Amino acid sequence: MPPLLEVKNLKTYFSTRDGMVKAVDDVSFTIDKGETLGVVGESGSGKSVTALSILRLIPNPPGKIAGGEILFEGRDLLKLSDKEIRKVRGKDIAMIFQDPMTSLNPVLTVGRQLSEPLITHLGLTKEQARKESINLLKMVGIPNADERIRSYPHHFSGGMRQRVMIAMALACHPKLVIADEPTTALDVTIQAQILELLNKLKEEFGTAVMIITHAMGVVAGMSDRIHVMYGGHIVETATAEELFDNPRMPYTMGLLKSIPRLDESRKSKLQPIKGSPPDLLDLGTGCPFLPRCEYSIEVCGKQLPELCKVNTVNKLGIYTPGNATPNSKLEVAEGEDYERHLIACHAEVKMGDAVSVEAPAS
Amino acid sequence: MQDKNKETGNKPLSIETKTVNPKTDGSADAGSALPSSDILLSIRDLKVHFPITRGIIFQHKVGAVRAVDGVSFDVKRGETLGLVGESGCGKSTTGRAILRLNNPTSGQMYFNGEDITLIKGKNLKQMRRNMTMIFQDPYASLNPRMTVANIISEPLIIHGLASGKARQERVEQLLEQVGLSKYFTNRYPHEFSGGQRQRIGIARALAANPSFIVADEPVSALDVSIQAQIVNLMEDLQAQYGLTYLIVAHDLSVVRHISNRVAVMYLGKIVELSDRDELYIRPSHPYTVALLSAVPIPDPKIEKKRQRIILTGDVPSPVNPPSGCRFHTRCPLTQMICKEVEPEFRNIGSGHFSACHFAEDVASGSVKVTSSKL
Repeated sequence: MPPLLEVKNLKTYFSTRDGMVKAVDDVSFTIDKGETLGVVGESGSGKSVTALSILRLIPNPPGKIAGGEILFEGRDLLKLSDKEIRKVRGKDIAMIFQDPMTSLNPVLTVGRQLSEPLITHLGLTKEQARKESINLLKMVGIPNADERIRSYPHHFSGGMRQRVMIAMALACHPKLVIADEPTTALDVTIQAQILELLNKLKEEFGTAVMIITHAMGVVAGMSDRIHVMYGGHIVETATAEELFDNPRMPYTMGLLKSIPRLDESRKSKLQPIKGSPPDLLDLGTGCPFLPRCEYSIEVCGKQLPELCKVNTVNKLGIYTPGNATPNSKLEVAEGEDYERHLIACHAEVKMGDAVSVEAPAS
Repeated sequence: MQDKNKETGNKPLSIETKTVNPKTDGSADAGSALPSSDILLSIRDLKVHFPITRGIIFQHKVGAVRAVDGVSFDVKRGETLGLVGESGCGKSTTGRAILRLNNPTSGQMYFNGEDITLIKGKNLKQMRRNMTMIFQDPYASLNPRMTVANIISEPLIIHGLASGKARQERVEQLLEQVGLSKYFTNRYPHEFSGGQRQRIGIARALAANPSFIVADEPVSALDVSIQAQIVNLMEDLQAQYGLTYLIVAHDLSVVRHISNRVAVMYLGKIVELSDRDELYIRPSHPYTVALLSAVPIPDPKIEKKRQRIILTGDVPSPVNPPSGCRFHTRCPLTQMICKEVEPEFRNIGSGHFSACHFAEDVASGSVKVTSSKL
């Protein structure tokens, strides 16, 4: 079955006074129908820009989609006219933004904002749209829905506004919902409510979800598969269980080791990743994670690693650098999880192993 | 105790390191008014109300936002007390009131045995050498028009602690302490990343050699991989200088890692206070239970099976808090008594305090907290 969304070699660049920022630099991935994909990364990883690129919401200037294809149900969204892409936004693909106060229109009532996609995309009359808006508010758990459609966004709390955003996103039963940091601005108990609501609704409607966040705990609970992004690239991808059990890219490993966990009593110190997230103006030719990596070898500075399947360590514990392909001398791990576990790393490492990495004999 | 009056501007400020062992038996009594010598800060029935006024020409008070509405706790010398809660619970206001950035409406605050509630002028200034703050937003808390050297020197200048070359050396020393190069002294804040700016803020907080630091959400504005760096830095500095911290935060995982004891606030009051592990293993207040169950854990196997306790509705307004127990409108365990009688903040054993009529039952697990139904 063909995937619902197929992003191929997406490149989104921003021209700034100080140079070209390659916010997304050759990113490819797919989302299947009904699947939940988690995209994690920190500042400058490119995760939000990827989402905005899919819906062609990149401001131009200074940004532009410099290359690639975005195939949604077989159609390249990048080739559609403005009129055609507007028919996709809100109807087939919807978006939930991070800060509901700035993404809801403050001068329109909630009812009016909910009705907009219903009238535009589904051709409902004003009265039909009004009734449906009440149903939508009820669906997302807002009490006194028939009164609240006349309220303005500032009459709601943060959690309630996010529910309104979710209602708007789901109004036309889209096939894909992109949620960009949907709960970052919310208190933790409200976050729990919103995530529970999202889970319930995506089950009910069979919607595919792309959830973008920096919170590892949130993706752990919601995703089927997870991409880890760094410096404009996808550096690791795997099923959720596999990623947390067996992270292979030094960045992912570092990230998981540095997060304090609620269910762990204090041991020794946290293990942070040294250095800072990369300056996208100054990336260089090799792997963007190189300045912070403990496992780097010579080739890491010269060649950008490509995403390829993980491999296990050979018996001597020595890695052969370069792309690991099924034909390489290393043992290839088996099973479907491993099949879909890809990393972009020249010097593959396994969590917890103090393995010495030998540079190539050349 | 160090005698700060002896330091002059002619020699560099010495860094006095001291190791302090916080008492671990948790026997601080929230009720007694006279603190014992191992208690650095003592807060009794603190209230901070912000008036709401009406009228253009003649303003009259029509109500008040009861941001902090009667909190009492002690902070022991050398410990880290975590103050957690969600938006609007009053935790930041409490931290700021201690430093007199907001003035208390009523209540008492004692620092080192001295009543600091109403002090002014010279006394207040002197107090602010001993108590400083690390702010949440590394982008807003540094003056963009001041160089790093100016920012860190400011406390030294205000308190007359060092001048000339001595001051410069102290600034460089502080920069190195927080892991920044001393060559950064002439740079401006915008030239640094968020994590680096937070380090500058920490250096500024340390400049006057305080004994107590209030850290208001010190890492929440930072990238995840940087948060651990700053947490470790704060712990190292605490060990080196014998600092006492009050950490105001909403991230319960970070608080669990760094604190010795934790207080949970809800709608202007402390609902639970106990030793760190005790709070996470044996919470005695339904709000704490719900809060803990809401925190995502980075482990898909655990997350997907977890039964979360979902609280319905939103936090009530602090202008008009609910009668009786403030949490009763959202509490899954609400009984008649909860609506009428405000529970006492009492010691349920070994320094574990709780403001719930059923605290013992919740702690022992004989009453289960489940999701509240709408």
